[in-house]
Amino acid sequence: MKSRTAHILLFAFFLLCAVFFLVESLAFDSTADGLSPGSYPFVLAIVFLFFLLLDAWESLSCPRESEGSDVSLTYPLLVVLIIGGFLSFVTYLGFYLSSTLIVFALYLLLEKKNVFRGFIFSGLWALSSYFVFGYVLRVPFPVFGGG
Amino acid sequence: MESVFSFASFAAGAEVLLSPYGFLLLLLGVVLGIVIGATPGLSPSMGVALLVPLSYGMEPAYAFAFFVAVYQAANYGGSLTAIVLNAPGTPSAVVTALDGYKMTSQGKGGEALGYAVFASAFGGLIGGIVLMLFAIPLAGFGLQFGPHEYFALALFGLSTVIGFSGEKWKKTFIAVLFGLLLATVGTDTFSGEERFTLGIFELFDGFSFIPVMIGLFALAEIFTRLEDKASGLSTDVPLLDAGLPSLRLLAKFKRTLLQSSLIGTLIGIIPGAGATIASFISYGQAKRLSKEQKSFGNGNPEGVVSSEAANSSSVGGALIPLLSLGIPGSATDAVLLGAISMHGLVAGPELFETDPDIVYGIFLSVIFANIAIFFFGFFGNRIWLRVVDVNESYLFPTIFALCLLGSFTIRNSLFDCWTCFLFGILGWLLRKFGYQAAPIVLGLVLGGMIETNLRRAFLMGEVIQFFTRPLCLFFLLGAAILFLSPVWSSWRGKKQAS
Repeated sequence: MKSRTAHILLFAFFLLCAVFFLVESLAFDSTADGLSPGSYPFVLAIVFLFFLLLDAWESLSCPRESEGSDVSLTYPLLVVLIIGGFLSFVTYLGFYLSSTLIVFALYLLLEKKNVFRGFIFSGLWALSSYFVFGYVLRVPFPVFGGG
Repeated sequence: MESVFSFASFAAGAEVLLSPYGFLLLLLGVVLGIVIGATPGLSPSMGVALLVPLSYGMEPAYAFAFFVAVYQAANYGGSLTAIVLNAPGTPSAVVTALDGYKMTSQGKGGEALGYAVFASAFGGLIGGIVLMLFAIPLAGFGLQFGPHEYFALALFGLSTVIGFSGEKWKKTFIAVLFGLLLATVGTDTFSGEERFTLGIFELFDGFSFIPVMIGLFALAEIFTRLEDKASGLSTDVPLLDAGLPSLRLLAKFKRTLLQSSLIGTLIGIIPGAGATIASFISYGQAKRLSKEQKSFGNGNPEGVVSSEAANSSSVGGALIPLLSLGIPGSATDAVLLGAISMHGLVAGPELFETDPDIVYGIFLSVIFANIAIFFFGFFGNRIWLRVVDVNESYLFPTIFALCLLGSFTIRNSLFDCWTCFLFGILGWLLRKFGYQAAPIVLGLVLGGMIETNLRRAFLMGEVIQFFTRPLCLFFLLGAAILFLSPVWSSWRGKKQAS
């Protein structure tokens, strides 16, 4: 993906946020003090939109600067998929099993050899995280089977 | 100004801390605090809250010496991961990461850790000494702050990041505004109406800033390094031996150390202001007065020194209203106040008369804890630096898993893990296009304070008071100057160029 495409995506995200806050803030009725719950975010959204458009205008005026290098997505995208998968399945698989799998998957992504070492490493990770967070700090992680 | 120092009480407090049990508890508190602070997701307040049940069977004087050691050390611990991994353990360490991590990337990680530990210990000591000598006289300072002053102070805090952003001031402003908008998500404190929650139950309390911070810093950093790896660039971080910077180098920053420590202590006294504002403001001041302004944010040790001295000294400052008036100065102080009640005590001037051993035990534990932090930090830095040297196939999965685990721990909610993950992706994109993450975090942290106090001031009806109250006017003028300075510089630069 070209850097410029990614920049446009980021601008579109900010623009969407600005419009969302702007439109939603208009839905609130004013209160006795004259400031509705939407007044402050409305002003912020207007200023946000103004500076966003100003910045975009300046970026367009000097296209060379904003082009930058290509965005290489191979690793980050794979990691995004792995973490997204972890967050989607953690409720069913439980925290310890899924965190072991995610650590193992990320290890394999970065280190293609030494699969056995990765297995040991992810197992040790699960054990230590269970001891510190589950046993000592009593954090109620999701457990296998959706509990 | 009447000082409350009493030698008899001092001796009673010293007896607690110099007993083998008290001393060991203090050391244990420092070690636990450093670990808690360095773990993304575990804040000082959460650390103290988790340890409060352990104090049921303890004598109150020992229990509070232990808690204060945890509190103080957790504030320092946040800087370790900020410097080594660009993963601030606490919000106040966000400022430390700006220069600290840059120094690590330049192979000066050991030096950065050295500066951090020295500045933390020094700032903490200043905070402790001010606390011991002027607790009651200074308590009134915080009470001068009404909604107008809080609003102006928060605005001043925000202006520091914009004022020193140089040519990128528009991008910084956009990032701050984005943070401020994010802070409006959740239930409106005045009307009780939900705002911008999209019906998502977890957003009724708004965005929790810890997952946002972890995502924007730690995850974004790993994404960036993975991208570099995919592009064939080196992801290795050069290493140098850990150790304290020389006395000559430290002496170079003596003004910054003292100035930041005093700023941190004073801001700490203001209830609700906290270490994050203290760090940003003292960083801004240090940059303003520095001859090397342009190197701030690019690995200037003075940035690390100013941030660490301020956030550490704010602990002593925040204890002043707690002990003198029973008003908690920060989230951790609120937990401490709960612990004080749990032990059947009442915080306030009476505590100085009824239980001087507890009060002076707390004073002295702030001082002793900082001495212990210095030694633990000095020797521990070598271990922390080794973290950078760990093979990335072990380091990256561990950081990813720790980030998600830390985010879950905040509210025991997977929603916070998603927040961390999505903000990680956003942070990665933001840094590619010249946006900084720190202004977003600052906007999110200060957003509530700004809106609440602005609306309170409007409710009180005296809007003119923004310009008639001296403290408020002072901060507003300072904020206006800082906001306008980059605009002025940019305009002047363009004029000269044309």
